[in-house]
Amino acid sequence: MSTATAPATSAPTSPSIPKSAHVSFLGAVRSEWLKLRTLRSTWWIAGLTVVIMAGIALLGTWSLSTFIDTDPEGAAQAMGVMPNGAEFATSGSLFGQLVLGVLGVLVVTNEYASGMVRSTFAAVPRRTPVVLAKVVVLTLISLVTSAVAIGASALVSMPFFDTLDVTIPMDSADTWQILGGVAVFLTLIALMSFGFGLILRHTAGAIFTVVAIAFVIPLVLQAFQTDLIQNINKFLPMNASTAFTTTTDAGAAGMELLDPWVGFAVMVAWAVVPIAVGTVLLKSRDV
Amino acid sequence: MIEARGLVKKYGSKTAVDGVSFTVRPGVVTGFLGPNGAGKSTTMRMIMGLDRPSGGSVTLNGKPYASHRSPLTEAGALLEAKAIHPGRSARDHLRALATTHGIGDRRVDEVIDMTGLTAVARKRAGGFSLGMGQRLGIATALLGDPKTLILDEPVNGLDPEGVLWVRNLAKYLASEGRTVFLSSHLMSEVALTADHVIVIGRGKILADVPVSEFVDDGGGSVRVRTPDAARLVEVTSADGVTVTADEPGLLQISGLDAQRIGELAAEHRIVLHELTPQASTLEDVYMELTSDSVEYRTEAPSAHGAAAAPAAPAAADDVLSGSTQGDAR
Ligand SMILES: Nc1ncnc2c1ncn2[C@@H]1O[C@H](COP(=O)(O)OP(=O)(O)OP(=O)(O)O)[C@@H](O)[C@H]1O
Ligand SMILES: [Mg+2]
Repeated sequence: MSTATAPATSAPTSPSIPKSAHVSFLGAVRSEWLKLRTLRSTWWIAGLTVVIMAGIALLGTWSLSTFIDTDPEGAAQAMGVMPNGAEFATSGSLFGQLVLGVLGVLVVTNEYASGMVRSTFAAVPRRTPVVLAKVVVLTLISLVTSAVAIGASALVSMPFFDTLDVTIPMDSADTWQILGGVAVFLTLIALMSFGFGLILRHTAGAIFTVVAIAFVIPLVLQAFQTDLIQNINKFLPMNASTAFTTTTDAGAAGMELLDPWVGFAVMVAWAVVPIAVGTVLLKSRDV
Repeated sequence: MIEARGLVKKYGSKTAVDGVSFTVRPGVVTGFLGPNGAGKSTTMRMIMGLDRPSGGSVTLNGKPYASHRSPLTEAGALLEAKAIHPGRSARDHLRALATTHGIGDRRVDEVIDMTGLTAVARKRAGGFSLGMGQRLGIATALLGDPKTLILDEPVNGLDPEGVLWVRNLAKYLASEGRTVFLSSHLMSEVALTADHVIVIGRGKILADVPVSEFVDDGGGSVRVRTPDAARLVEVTSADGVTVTADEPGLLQISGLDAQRIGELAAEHRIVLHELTPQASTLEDVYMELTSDSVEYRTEAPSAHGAAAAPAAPAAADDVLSGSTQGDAR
């Protein structure tokens, strides 16, 4: 390279930079993973997800078993059919989704808040690979965190299963639909939150939006028992995912739900659409 | 090599960069000079593909930045605004960027050493002082050992030793054949570092010349100390020569160079105690060029005289605002 006739633009390159160095999707994924794991907030959020979900499962099974001990007939009447034990192990997902949602939002908004985004796009100037790399690492960490949280929830609620007369039948397809469905649901909520972070580029605004869509609005709408409102409510993330992750009437709690796979598809759309919109905006906006 | 052709950037109704065309060549340091709000940072963000031009185009080594296979080895930038997450260590910040290109930790540690950050490399960047943050920004720019360096006010926040280091680094990188594009709103800074200067004001290019020429264009003023001021004024008075007396026995003469003044004094046997060509003419030329295009002005006129050669940024701003008071906008 460094011949006497070389043009002035071919300055010497440090020997510690490989000749073949170039930007790649795998490199972008590695970078996103390094960025994610080197922030303390990531581990706080992952830990909090596990603690909150296990805590809710513990409280739920413990209080129910006390109820049954003290008033077996009343309990039997109130409960009707006992759900699959897996539903106890996933009962904290309503709150777990909010914590993982914060992680999804932060993956993008903390880069805007700190200005890191300018370094990110200076290193990987094309926008779509950065979005996809973030999707990959967020999906992986959310799935693993959800699996650990569900496992911990199952462990802490099992001591009460005898009293409650439930089990987690490992050979039942229902069990895996519930456990897998909730892990996927939590991941999709994290991805949806990431999408809103991409669109809004602002932590508080994106978290507010996620909490409204995933939590507040479906609960408020439940109070209005008109057909139109209930039809809308079916399509919100909370009920769309319940349609997939509930295998008994007890889980449905009297709600009218979508067909399981329709619910699943709606849930996927809740993740894909905001990310797609966010990516289109990202490509047209200044960093 | 950076080539801008008719580059425009509008933010709503505000035109930040107004159809600029220029070429930044390898092998020399090119200063990018302009008052606050002139459009320097905006232009640099467009070069790096961060802001989308509203019109025109800019290429880096022949292609838009984003089209390069290995962007980090083509160009590195230190941008005006912070571009570092405060919760991450300096080393992890650099590693995260390096790994996008498959660049390993050896290069990361190399730029950490180069920028004097070894002792704090594993500390959270959020705790860094302004100068250390600036050094980390420079380390980021150097990471890919790029052919082109874009440095937006690189000496901001650095101590005198750091300022000197940046100047020498910029010159050294240019001497290796790299393209070095460095912005400042201080003429004195650019005069010390750059070989070529592009002056921008209100989004338009006002000058694009070698630094040496830039100085010559302005003519010079010469400071003369003499016990016989009245006679010297007499013998030097001619068309195009202006003489001002700042204090008894001290004259500022413009329109004649130091050599001619010395000859005239000798001819008429006038004793001179000092004969100094004024470097501040650089500042004057710059001031003159940009006086119509200053974006921001402080409300109260400053007490500083317009001839004071500014050393500190604050003083320079005062001078700028002082000389443009009352401009209709
Ligand atoms: N993101 C933005 N949105 C709106 N206006 C902007 C934006 N960025 C810059 N501007 C405006 O564009 C003009 C040029 O700004 P720019 O930051 O490029 O100037 P500059 O030459 O770097 O100034 P300084 O010396 O103060 O750093 C200013 O009037 C500024 O207010
Ligand atoms: Mg600027």
